Amino acid sequence: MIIAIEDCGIVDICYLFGINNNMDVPEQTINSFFNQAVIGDFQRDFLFRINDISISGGLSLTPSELLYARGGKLPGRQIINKVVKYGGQEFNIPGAHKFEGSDSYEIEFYCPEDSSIRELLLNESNRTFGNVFGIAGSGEAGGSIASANSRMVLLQLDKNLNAIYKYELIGCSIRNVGEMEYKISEGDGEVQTFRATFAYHFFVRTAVGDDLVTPIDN
Amino acid sequence: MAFDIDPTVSPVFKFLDLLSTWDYDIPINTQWSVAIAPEMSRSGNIGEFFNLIGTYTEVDLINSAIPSSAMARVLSDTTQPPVDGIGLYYAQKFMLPNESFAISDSGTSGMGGYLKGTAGSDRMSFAERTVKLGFLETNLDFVDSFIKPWIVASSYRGLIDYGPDNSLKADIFIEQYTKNSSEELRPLRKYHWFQGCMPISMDSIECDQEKDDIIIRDVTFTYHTYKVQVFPDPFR
Repeated sequence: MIIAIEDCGIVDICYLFGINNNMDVPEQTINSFFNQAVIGDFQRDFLFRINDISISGGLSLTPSELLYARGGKLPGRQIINKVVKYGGQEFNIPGAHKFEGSDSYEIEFYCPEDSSIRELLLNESNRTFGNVFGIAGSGEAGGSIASANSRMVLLQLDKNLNAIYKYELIGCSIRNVGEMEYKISEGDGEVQTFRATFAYHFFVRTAVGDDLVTPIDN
Repeated sequence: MAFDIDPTVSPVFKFLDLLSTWDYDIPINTQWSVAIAPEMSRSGNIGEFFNLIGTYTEVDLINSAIPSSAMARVLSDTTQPPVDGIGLYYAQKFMLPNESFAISDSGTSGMGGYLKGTAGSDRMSFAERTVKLGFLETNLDFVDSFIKPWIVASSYRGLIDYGPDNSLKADIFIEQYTKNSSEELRPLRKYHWFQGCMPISMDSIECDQEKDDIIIRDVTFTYHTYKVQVFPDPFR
């Protein structure tokens, strides 16, 4: 194949594809994987905490209330793909960004016996827009609830339960407080849970601790 | 005469090479900013600018003058900081004027199979040239509190040049940026400067119980001079 490329005189292809006759293949063996796993270990699906939910002018869940959060997601980030075509070839150009799921960040909560958390969330939903008087709430400064001071703080932990990265979802506001189903005749005492969703504008990351990749937010 | 194409050169890779340079990278069309600078603000008379508008609108519409408490909050360093160049916060879109001149047939009738010639005619007039900006409706409504009284005042004043100290005209600056990062936060790629602008029309507004959309209202400006500058690769 290399010979065919050279015959065409398109020597730039070799450079673009990094093809050379002296390429060093990095060692990727079972042993090297094991050694790396001992050093680096792995993230586990329970090494996550929701550390704070505070919405400007309204909802602020206490640490004891946040204990009822069953789980959540570490949000992702997407670069929108734009296609430019030329000569029958599609070129994939990076476009603007999008925070996938920023309009519906879901958290599942255990429901305490007094249903306090769900009631607080419903109160926040009513404050965001009340159906009785048709009034929308505002943040502390009188502007949008979804202000810079409305934040959700997520922590990614290491196996020693130390925070390694902090993700702050900026401009949080509540969207949905989910249903909670009861089974009066057939219920066997299952612990009730419900889901709530929030929207945010974007997230910022902070490395908490040493020897970590420094987050860059442009 | 056909192009003399080198068959050993891949057009696809040539396109890719060009795409790798600053000049030919594809920009994102959300990276721009708009600023409106009334001519009277050049001599620090922005307050007088609002007062001049109020002079005409008091005649036309009761209480349509901009409250003095709101003047600074409608168009000021808060809404369009001049230093960091972020631009007018309310501006959600812009539409630049096109350029054209008319052509017409040149010849007599009854020429049969003979094609008539083409003659150049008039260039597009200033009356047809406008720049359009779309503004976001906020609690302090930029369009109703500032643009509408400005249009009313402009209709009384007309387009006569009264000098920069007694003018209802403004400059509009539109800067378009690349998406690349460099030593500057957002390198400039194109710059549009409209001089002698006055708003001539604004969209009406319809509020409907069925719709709760965010409102963006278009405003059309006339101008007497338009300059556009394109900036080549800043790294070469």
